[in-house]
Amino acid sequence: MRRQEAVAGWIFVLPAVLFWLIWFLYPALKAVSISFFQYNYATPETNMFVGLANYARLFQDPKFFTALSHSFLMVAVVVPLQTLLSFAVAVLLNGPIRFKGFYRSSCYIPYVISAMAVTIFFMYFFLKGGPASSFFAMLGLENVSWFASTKYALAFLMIVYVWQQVGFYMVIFIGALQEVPLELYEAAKVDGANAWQRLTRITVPMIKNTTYLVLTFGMINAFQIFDQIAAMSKQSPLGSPSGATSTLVTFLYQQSFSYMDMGYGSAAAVVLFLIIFSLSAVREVLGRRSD
Amino acid sequence: MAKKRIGKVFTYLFLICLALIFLVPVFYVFYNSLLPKRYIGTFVPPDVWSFDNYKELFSEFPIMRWYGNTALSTVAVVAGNIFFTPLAGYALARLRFPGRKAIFLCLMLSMMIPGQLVLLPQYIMMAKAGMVDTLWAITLPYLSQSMFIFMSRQFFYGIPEELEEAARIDGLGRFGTYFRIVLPISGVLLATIAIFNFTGTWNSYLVPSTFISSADKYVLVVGLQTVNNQHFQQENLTLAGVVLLSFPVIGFFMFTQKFFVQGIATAGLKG
Repeated sequence: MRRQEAVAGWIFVLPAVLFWLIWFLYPALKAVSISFFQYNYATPETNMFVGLANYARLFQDPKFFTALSHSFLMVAVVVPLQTLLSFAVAVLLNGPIRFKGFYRSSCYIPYVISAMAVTIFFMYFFLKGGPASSFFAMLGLENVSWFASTKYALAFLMIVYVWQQVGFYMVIFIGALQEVPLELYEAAKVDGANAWQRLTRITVPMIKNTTYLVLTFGMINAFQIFDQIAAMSKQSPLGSPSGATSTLVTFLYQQSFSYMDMGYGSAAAVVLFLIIFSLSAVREVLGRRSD
Repeated sequence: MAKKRIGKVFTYLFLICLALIFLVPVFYVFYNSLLPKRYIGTFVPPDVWSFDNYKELFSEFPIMRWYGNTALSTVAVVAGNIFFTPLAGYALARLRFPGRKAIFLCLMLSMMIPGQLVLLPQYIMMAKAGMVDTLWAITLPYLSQSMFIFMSRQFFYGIPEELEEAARIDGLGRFGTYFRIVLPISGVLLATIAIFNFTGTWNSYLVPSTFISSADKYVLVVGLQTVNNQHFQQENLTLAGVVLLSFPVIGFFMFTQKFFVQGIATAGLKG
């Protein structure tokens, strides 16, 4: 019986495990090993082991630090913003509202459109003299093509990104809010708690796990933004204008696929993994401690 | 009471603004894709609207070819994930076998590994296997994705075990139980995987733009980037391209939107 269950279990997971070994674990280990080499796939005769040299180079490369700071800035702005917005909208839509489905779908539609497409049409809104740039010009900002301005390009990227992502996290929050037992709110009302108190004392703690999930997902995804930047850069080098939107991902992509400096690119990819991994781990530990 | 009413008004005002922020751009894109270049951004009567921009795109680019490539790889990837990932997720949730914990741990870990880390080695593997610049490159590695195994596992944890036990007592084996009893009641899970996987694959850019180089093997997103690069000055043409890429996913979303919310709520994304 036991044996039969074990055999069945392995047969069930075998295809998934094989795919994982071949297309994930092996490439991941390979990437780590490449990062210790001076490596170009096309010219194997010049490949050689360089130890930690690629990593040492990273930490002396100002372009790497620019990219790194842009990545962290993206995450620091975008993650709290999209989490707060999506939470607020979810709370409103969880209340007694007419046409819920309509509002929910309108928020979600951007998420199903490709990031490439979304960025392209936002570029038209934020062209010099376009509807959005003109609007912000009234608020005192310069009327320029945002995506082509070293000053505004990163802000443009953040706006496009948050516009697209809010709906997704909203749906996750709605799922969690529906699980909070209504009796809790009734009891709090009887005790005289106002709406704000009910929100902060009941809703927030009850959906804590979902909030952690949204923060972790949000962070992992925000570190990996790529398509939007590719759309903005068009035929210029990734991260245009002149590196204003370079991130860790565009940096490593360029090293590996444009400059064929694959060992160096892989070292940057490993650093990206280490950052995501340690931030996720820290979040996990903090989450556990507060329980 | 008056205070409550004011609150209500503000809530609706906020929601309407929000809906406008999300919907107006979408309508703007569609509307302007129907206009000749000189009318872009202006309101003109319907007799000037036409599909000329679309006709021009179809004559200049192999759009049908791009549709075909996108549809083929998307359908293959979704089919793979719908078959393989619930199977693995079920075993991880229900069956006891040596290595189960280790597999689950690896799963969690791989969700934290950015796709960009494995991109280059995958490219090298593809090149060695002669798969670069073929649809295999954007299909084969993505047939079983960790994210969906995790979702499946969470889903199967959440459903009661009695049905399966009854089926086992009636003499059904593990496979019979899974295919005849468990799968038929897992519609929500399968729909959720299909929805996420469909939009994700249809819209993905990084992988196809890296692995595919000849224009006749492009998928739509990469094709749109080409249109954008060549015709950014002609807003009407580029926006028509945006519509061509987006309307199948938006249509798909309209059909399945009931599942979107239900699916996310049930498929273990609650944390």
